[in-house]
Amino acid sequence: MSAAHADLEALEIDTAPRAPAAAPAGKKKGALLTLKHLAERARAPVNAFIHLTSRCNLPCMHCYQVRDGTNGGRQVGYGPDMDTTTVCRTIDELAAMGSLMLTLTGGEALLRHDWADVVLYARRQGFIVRLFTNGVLVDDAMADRIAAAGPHEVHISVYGVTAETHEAVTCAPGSFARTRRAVELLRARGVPVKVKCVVMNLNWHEWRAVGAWAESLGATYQFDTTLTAREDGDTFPKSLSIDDGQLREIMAELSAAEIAGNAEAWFDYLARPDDERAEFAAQSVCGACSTTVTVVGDGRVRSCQLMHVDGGSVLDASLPHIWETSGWFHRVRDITLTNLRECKTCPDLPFCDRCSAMALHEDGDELGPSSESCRKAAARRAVYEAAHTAHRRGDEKGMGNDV
Amino acid sequence: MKPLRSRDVASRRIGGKVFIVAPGEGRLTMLSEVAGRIWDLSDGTRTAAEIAAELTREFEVAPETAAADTEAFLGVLAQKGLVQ
Repeated sequence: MSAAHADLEALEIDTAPRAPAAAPAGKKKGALLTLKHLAERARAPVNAFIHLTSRCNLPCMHCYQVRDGTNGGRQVGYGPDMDTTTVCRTIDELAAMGSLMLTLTGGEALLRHDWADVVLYARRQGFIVRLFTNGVLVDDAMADRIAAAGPHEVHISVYGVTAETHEAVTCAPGSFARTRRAVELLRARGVPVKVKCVVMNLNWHEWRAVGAWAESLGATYQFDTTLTAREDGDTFPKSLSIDDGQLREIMAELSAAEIAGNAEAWFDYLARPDDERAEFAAQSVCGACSTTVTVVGDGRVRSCQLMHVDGGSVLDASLPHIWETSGWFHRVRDITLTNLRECKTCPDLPFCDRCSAMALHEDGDELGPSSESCRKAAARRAVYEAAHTAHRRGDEKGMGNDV
Repeated sequence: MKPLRSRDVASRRIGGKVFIVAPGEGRLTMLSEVAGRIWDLSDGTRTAAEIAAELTREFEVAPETAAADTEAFLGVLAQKGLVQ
């Protein structure tokens, strides 16, 4: 034993494990990956989400949540919010299950009167706490309360740098000024803020400016291009998706290195003998009810943020009981590369971040392909191949000069 | 003095390893097995000497080494404000 044992490996927090895990194990390094592997082995929901409420004060165009409706004869919508006692008990249970990162979201989390108490309680239970909000309710007093409650990070959705663009998404006049002000007020108080922007055809022309604006305030930023069907099956949000050319453009700009790294890890993996590939192929393809879990506002428990199928309710049973015994959760954990119907032999596998939830909700089969994932995989392949073509041309040019 | 983990530190033991995030840092840190045990034992009920004694029972280590390493690691934690 030596004090050298106390030399610590550190990584920036990136609390959301990639879902599904695109790269075979062992290709990345760091504390975060170690955490993910240990959590997978222990089946600990290290990355948990609690929707403090399903109520929201913005009717955003792309939102998947449905207040009341049906889907294939199944009722969808939300009941009353969990009471404070139930939320805190759920937090206790998550802590005991090995959960470390807790995201408090909604709906709009700040609509709930006890949100600050819940943030403080979760911090006292040893969680890394993230608070997701649209920022509309954040004035000076609310910013003070957030700073005092001390979440590790606040995520605020911003869809543009003009009221016209942002409010084309939120459908709420005045929301742009309030949301923008929220970011400024929180940054002025030293609260770590991540500006998040779903990039759609409504705001394509301003996404770069959103990043630049966030950076100017000392906030981090993150872009997402994923739009999912609504819980009642309405695919309207999909109509807001950027086109294939735009998808390639944003991927080339933001994630070319990650695409190349993942693809090369996959090429390496696929070149190995069958027996060496078997262990990875038998693992769950993503973290759903393996390293992540979601409890929605009325207490129902889901395998992840996107899979709108309930494994049980914390109003009826303990979270560990649901985690261990839910038949649906067992079924989701059995979604392995081996069990996938078509994807396991797809040539675009090295470029795919296949989502079982989208495969189920939009294409009808959690073991089949997700058409949206296929579209993105094709875009990633194009980005990868274009980069390699450019690289080869550069090499040839360099050799010519040398000669 | 009996070291006590700061309540502002996010921490969890997962798969035998302790992970912590210091307040205001936003960095995930993984502790070694021994450092994680010192962290666990820093619950305000034991002195540094008592923590070191516990380590000598649990690990194959000489008492003087355990004492020195415990003091050193607690010093790092105290400097960072992670224990009181």
